[in-house]
Amino acid sequence: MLDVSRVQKELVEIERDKNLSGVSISLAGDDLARMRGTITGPVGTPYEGGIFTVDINLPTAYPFEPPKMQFITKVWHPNVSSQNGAICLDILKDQWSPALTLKTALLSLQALLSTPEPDDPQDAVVAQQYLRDYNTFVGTARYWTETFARRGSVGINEKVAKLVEMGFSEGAARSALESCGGDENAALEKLCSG
Amino acid sequence: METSDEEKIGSALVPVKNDAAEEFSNDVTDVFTCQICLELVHKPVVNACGHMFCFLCVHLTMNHGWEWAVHGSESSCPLCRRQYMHFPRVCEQLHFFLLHAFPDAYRRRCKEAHVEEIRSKFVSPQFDDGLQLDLTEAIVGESSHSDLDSGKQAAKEAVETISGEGSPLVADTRVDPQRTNSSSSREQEDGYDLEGRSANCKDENEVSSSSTGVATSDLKCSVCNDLLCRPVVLNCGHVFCEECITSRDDAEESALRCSTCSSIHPGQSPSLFLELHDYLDKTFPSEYARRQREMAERNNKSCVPKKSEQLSNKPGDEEKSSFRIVHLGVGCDGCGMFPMIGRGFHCMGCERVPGYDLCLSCYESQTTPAGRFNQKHTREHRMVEIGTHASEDDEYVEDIDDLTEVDGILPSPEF
Repeated sequence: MLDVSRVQKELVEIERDKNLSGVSISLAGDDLARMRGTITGPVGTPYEGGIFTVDINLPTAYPFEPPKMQFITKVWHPNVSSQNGAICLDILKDQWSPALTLKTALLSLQALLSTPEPDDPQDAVVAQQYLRDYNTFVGTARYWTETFARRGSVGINEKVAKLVEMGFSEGAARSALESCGGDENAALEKLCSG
Repeated sequence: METSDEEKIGSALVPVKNDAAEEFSNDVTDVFTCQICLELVHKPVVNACGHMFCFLCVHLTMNHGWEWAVHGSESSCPLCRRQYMHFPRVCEQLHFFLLHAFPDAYRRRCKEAHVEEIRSKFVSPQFDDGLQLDLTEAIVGESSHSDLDSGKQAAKEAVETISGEGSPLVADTRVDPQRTNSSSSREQEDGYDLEGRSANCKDENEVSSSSTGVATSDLKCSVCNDLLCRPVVLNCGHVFCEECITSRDDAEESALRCSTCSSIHPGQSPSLFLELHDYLDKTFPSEYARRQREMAERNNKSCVPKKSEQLSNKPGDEEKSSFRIVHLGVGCDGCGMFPMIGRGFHCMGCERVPGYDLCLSCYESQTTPAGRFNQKHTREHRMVEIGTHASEDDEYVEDIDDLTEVDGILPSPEF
């Protein structure tokens, strides 16, 4: 079963220096197994200025098995699926070690954003573009960051307020926005569809 | 159990307001924290690379390696990824040292860890440490609440802690020197005595640290009978000075043998146990500097080649044939080899979980080593070679057959 005590310690540690580390985490369910992590886009990359949300699922054998992580925010990156946000990173697979934590894993994701590995791709289309036409790749990645990951805490509140005005409850609006990576229209669609 | 479940879970986040809790949140956690469970280390196991973890943490780490079958048959250290094949024994000296140095925190930790061990069915070896952990009590306490509820409750607590500005736990990490001193002096007044153990090893040269009440006699090397200097831990869990095991007289013998229990140290020669080294350096600065000078002088005088260099490429006890049988998920209770390679023997007299198995060389040594998981194995128990049908105990044979079916023939390791 899940090592509750360790996960709590990790959460406290992440909370302690979230301003310095650029990664944060919050619970996404009524137990400790589901969380949402956020990482800030590294400076000097096409992801600069973006805030990327990561869905985190802890297996019951955590920390002896790696956490399952997947981008919720759409990211244009050779090692992240542009379709579903699946991540190709060795420490989330066979190179996981129980001495790693959610914080170090999120920091590794941040590092992955600044150093893509196109030779070991998750998304072949993005990887091809990265290798053949780097300038276009940077342009697309930046455009995706601007479109999907550009949201400050003020921005999200405004979006929530807008949806509340339309007649949705605040909680529903917020969770819809979160699950769509802050995309207003997608959130609205989701709320309308049920 | 005297506390209710909610109190118990809440205490993980909301610090208990007493001296022990504050003492615990100081240096102790930093120096002797297991990097897997992030708690004060319990029944410390030190790998050959010199990294220390709890007994159960090492067991679970090694066990997940094979279930995944991603690390091949070898385990790798969670911190440095150095590969190893043997589950070391608990470092008993360190266990008693922690009990002496941080009585309240370590006792509390032992109780918690004991419950976890019973739940996992893999109990660490019990020492005569006066803790008197009652197995039945822990089981009764455990069955009184469901894991799911505790998880939900803990999640709620976590939310509260995180959402609150300047949460109490974060604020509580500051060191309060006055409190610490008062608590340590209180310990000394209590006359804490490890079953007469600390009283026996007092000597006139003893230096004790003013802050924790720890004496140099707690951390002695049994070879030179002095304060440990650059400590290393062997596979059997015994601690020595680095110099004391590398400059031995019997240098012609190829294998490194423990001078306390005379068991062979398999695999790579042990590296410096850095955490203890740093602790000694901080706690007994002048004494430790003296020891390091002494060792340096001794090292200059002796012209004996370093044992560690000779040992670094030792092929070990493993068979050198091009194929080997690997008993996945089965470890040797003697030398700790995991997974067991080559011929293996299973005890028919011990409980099925965790079971008691020996590799060929431990089986042939006729020493009846104590089990790794506190099994009650005796010489009278019948041992059967794994994979043979020599037993009439049908259920057991089936079980063993299952094991051997999983066994694969793997190419010989590259040494």
